[in-house]
Amino acid sequence: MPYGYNGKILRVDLSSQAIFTEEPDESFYRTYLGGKGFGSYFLLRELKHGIDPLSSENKLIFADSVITGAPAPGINRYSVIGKSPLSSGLGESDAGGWWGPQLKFAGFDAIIIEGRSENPVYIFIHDEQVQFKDARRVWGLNTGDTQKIIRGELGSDRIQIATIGPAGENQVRYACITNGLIHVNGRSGLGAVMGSKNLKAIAVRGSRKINVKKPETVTQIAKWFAKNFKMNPIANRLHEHGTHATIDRLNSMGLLPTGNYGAGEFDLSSKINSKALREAYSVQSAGCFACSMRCKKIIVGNDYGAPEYETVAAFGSNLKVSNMDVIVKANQLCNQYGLDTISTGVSIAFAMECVERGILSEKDLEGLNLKFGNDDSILEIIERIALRKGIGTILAEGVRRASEIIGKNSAEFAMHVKGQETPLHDPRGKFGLALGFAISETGADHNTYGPHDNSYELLDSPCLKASHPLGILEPMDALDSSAKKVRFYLYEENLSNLWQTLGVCNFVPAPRGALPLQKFVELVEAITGYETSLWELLKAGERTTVLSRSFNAMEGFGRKEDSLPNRFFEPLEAGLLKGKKIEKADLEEALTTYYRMRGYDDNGKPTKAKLQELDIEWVAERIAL
Amino acid sequence: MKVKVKFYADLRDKYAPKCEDGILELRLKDHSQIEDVFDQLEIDNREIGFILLNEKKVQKSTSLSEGDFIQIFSFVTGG
Repeated sequence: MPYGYNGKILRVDLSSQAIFTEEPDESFYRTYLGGKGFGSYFLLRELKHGIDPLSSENKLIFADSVITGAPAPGINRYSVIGKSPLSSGLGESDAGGWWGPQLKFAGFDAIIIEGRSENPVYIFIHDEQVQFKDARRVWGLNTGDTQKIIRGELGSDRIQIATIGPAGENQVRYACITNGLIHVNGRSGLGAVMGSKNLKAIAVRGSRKINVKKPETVTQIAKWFAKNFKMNPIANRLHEHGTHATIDRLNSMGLLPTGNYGAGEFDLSSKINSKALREAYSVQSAGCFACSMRCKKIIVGNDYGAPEYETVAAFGSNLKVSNMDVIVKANQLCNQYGLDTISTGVSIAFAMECVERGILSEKDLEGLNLKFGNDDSILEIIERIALRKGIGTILAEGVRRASEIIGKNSAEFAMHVKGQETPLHDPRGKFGLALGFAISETGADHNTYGPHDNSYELLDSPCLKASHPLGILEPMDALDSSAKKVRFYLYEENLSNLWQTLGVCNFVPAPRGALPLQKFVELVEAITGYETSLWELLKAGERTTVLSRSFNAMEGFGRKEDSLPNRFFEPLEAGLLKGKKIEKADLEEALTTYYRMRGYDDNGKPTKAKLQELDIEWVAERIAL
Repeated sequence: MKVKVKFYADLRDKYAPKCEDGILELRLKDHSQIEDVFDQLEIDNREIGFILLNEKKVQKSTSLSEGDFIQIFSFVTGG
């Protein structure tokens, strides 16, 4: 019996309602670990080149890792992986909560979903038993009603449910999957893939315990974290405010996206900050399985949580909206309909700029008043996107496809990379972020490296100190675009991909969190019984990076896909960084350096030698090497 | 010598709560460094992201001159 994991992966064919259990060997588990590592492995091996992400040929993988579910903080996340309907490349999104641990307790480490059900179904997994259940009763219902009815049918409120809402059913290309109504696999449009398979939800409940090698060490580390995390100012701020505190800080630095990323400063930011939310609502803390940090914020009386930074900026400053009630309601509607708040907000900002430039008319909008600063129509447009009504039908395609449909040079301000809408961070003040947005295999992503560039500018920065074990020793300017920055980015990217492979929340371990990297390695050893090291784990993070890149290479992605929206090559209009822009030549030079450091060719494709070094030579055939 | 120190975002509430626009005027010994401003105001290093001296990014070991304008920004990580 292995330590930390079950040794079983469930394969479900929705077309024939058949189930299979696979038992990969120990070497598979230790090499790929879980999460995005498992997902990119299976997609790359099994998916046919060029399939439609919304066809029955796509696969959807829900993956825990070798450590998920052990009673320690920040290791409760699971990834969902599939071919993304936004980018047509690798799609991945991870979420915390209780669903991931429950899947392990139910006896499986991952689920591979194949095919398409004839009628709406949901799957119930209970202690290794798998049942297909008729979901026609809940098809069309929002996430909250779906969870309530399924729990009622199955007879327990303790069953964890990952579900889509109407947006996923309607295959909105940025539909999400939610568990516990507030924990969301938001990005990559994987809720649309689930909808395309007629799969409404996966309910899980298990009674097994994770077999841990050294339980006393796991307990000791969990207790150490609970006692000490508040000493770390970043962790303490997350505990007290969640991510919302970032609004004021980014605004002061001229990096708060405002008016579809035109400016970096919003003059009404004090009306949408964390203090404003707390003055208007009763806010409490919530959290995830076995985590003492409790950084999630909820509003008393609202089942769908409080808006976090990305959501507040997406529906606030980036739309020039200062009405906190509308932002709270927008967050609730997105979570009910099952929409990614980042892509939804950025799509609305795109529509507003179309209106401002006279590209969309009153007739096109069918009564909506979509102007920057006007909050009257925001809730209505969210509904029209989710239900694909009127202009919502076009915006439901994401800004890349919407700009292709609308034309008239609207692509110039369609804010996306590889078809995925940009998160609410402006790379014109952080070159590492520019690299991350451009390079990320899943499209624009702010989490490809943990703490952003401004956290590494001072010699005694806590993030810099916590990155010393990675070999990052010197401070660097946020706008530095030299090879030194590329090296920094590459090392941190390996670490971020390790987190997405092991299902780790990047708020918990260093450099961003309070748990030192050495203690994290000790935790992995205590759970799995592996005699391991930061070296081996970072190599696993690197392996996931290269597997993800290889999937995209198989789909024909190359250097031209590693770019930024044109707006970021233009000067910021206002704020502390007014006039700053990304120089195209700097980005191109940094990309070339990055490819060479990574072991890619000049088109960004992994070389055979790199695949051999990472012990994944089998990938060569898939990417025609 | 006298210098001006401006704090931003939540640092303003903590280190310059009663000052208009978050600006403090400080009297320092000659040949002081930014480090001395941190000591005098008991600023927690771990909360600081970057420092501007007369609009240029600097480290805390930078020497100060009469009339300098120091801007202190919070630490920010990704959302």
